[in-house]
Amino acid sequence: MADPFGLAVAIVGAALASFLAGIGSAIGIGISGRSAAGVLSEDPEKYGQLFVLVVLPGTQGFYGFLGAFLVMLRLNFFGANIVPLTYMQGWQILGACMPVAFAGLLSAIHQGKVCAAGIQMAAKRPEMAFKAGVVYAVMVETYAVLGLLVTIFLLFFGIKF
Amino acid sequence: MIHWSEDVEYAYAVGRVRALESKLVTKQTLDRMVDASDEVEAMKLLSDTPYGVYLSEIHSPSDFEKILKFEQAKILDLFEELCLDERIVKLFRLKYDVHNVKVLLKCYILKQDFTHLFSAFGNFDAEKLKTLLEEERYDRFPPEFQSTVTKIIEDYYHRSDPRIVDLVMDAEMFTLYLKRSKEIDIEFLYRLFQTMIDLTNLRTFFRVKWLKEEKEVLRSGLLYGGTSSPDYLIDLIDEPWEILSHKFFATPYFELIEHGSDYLHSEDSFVRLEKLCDDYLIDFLRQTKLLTFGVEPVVAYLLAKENELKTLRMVFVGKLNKIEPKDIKERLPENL
Repeated sequence: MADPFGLAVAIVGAALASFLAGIGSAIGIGISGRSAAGVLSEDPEKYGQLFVLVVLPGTQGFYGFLGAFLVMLRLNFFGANIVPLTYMQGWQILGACMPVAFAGLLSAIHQGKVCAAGIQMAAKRPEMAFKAGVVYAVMVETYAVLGLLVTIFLLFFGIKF
Repeated sequence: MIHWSEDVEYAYAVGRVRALESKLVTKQTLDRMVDASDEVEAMKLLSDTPYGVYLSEIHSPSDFEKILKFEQAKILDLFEELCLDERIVKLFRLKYDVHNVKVLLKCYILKQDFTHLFSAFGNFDAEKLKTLLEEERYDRFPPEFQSTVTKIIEDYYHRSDPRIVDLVMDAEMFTLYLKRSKEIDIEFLYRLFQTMIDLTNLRTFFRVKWLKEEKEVLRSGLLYGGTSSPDYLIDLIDEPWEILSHKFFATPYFELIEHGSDYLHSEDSFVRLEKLCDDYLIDFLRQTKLLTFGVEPVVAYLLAKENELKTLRMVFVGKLNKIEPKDIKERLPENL
C-alpha cells in the first residue's frame, strides 16, 4: 500500500547519494588542488600534466549525481505521475543509494590523497605523472565505479514496484 | 618508527617543496665546481641554478657570502610562508638568537666589539638585546634567555673562561629545542633534535678523546636529552681506539663511528667523521621523502637548503684557498 513516507525516504536516499559523494569529491579535489597549486607556483608549465590528477577525485560527485538522477528517473519524477511507493520500497531505494554514496565519499577523499602524491611525484619526475600518478589514482576510482554499479543494479533489478 | 603528522593542510606547502627540491644544487654541479680551474669558473657554474639570479650583484668570488646570505634570508622567508605553525618558525630561528646572545656575551665579558657577527635571522632584534645587556636590564631579556645570561655572567666572574658562553648557550638551545618540540607535539621534530644532540655529543667525544683531555672537559661539553646518556660516552673516553666502534654496535651510529673513528685515528683528520655526521642527519631527513602531507617535508627542505649553503661555503672556501679538489670532495656532505 502506497505511503507518503515511502517517497520521502526514497528522496532522502537520492539526496544522500548526491550529497555524500559530492562532499567526498569536494574534499578530494581540495587536497589534490592545493598540492598542484604548490607545484605550479614553482613550475607553471606543468599545468597540463597535473590537470588530470587534480580533477580525477571529481568523478565521484558525478556518480552520486547519476545515482540520484536514476532514482528520480525510476520513480518517474519527470513524468506526469510519480510512482507510488510503500514505506518498505522507500527504504529499499534509500538502501540502494548507499553504495554510491559511501563508496563515493570515502574513495574521493583517498583518491585526492593519491592524486596529491602523484602530483608531487610529477614535480620531480614529470614522465611518471601518467604512468604511476594517474594509474594509481584510477585504481581507487574502481571502487567508486563498483559502488555506482551496485546502486544501478539494485535500483533497476533489486526493487520491484 | 616515527608517528608522522600527515596534516593535509600542508598539501600546498609539500607540493611547493617537492617542486623546489628538484632545483637543489646537484652533486654533479658541485663536483664540476670543485673541479673548475679557479673560483671564478666555479662561480660561473652557479648560473644554471637558483643562485644564478644573485651573480650580477657580486663583483668577485670572495663575495660569495653575500650570495649565501641572500639565499638564507629567502629560505627563512619561504619557511615562514609555508609553515602553518608560528611556534615551528620561531623554533628554527632560535639558533640565530642563540648565536646573537653568544656574540653579545662575548662582547660584554671580553670588552671587545664583535657586533659585525650579528645574525639578522633571529626572532629578536640583536641591537635591542645589546642595549639591554649594556644597561644590565636582564629582566627585559626574552624569558628563555634571562636566567641563562645571568648564570653565564656570574660563572664568568668566578672562572674567567669564555668557553662557558658556548657551552651553556648550546646546552640551553638544545633544552629549548626538546621542550618546544614536545609542546608542539610533532614526534619528527623531537627525534630530529635528539639526533642533533647525539651527533653533537659524538663530535665532542671524539674531539676530547683525540686531544687527550680530561673526563671533566668532556662532561662539561656533553648535551643531555639525546637517545643515550652522556655518562655512557664519559665511561668510554679511556677505552682504546680499536674497540670504540664495537661499543656502539647496538646503536644507529655504529657505521658512522666505525669509519669516522678509524679515519680519525689513522689519518689525524676529522674530515670523514664530520662528513659522516652530516650525512647521517641528511639520511634522517630523507625519511620525509615518502610523505605527501605534514610539516615534516617542509622542515626537511629548510635543513637541506641550509646543508646546501654549508656545502657551497666549503666549495668556495676550498677554491679560494687553492685546496686540492679531491680534498674538498672528501668533505662534501650528501644532499636530500
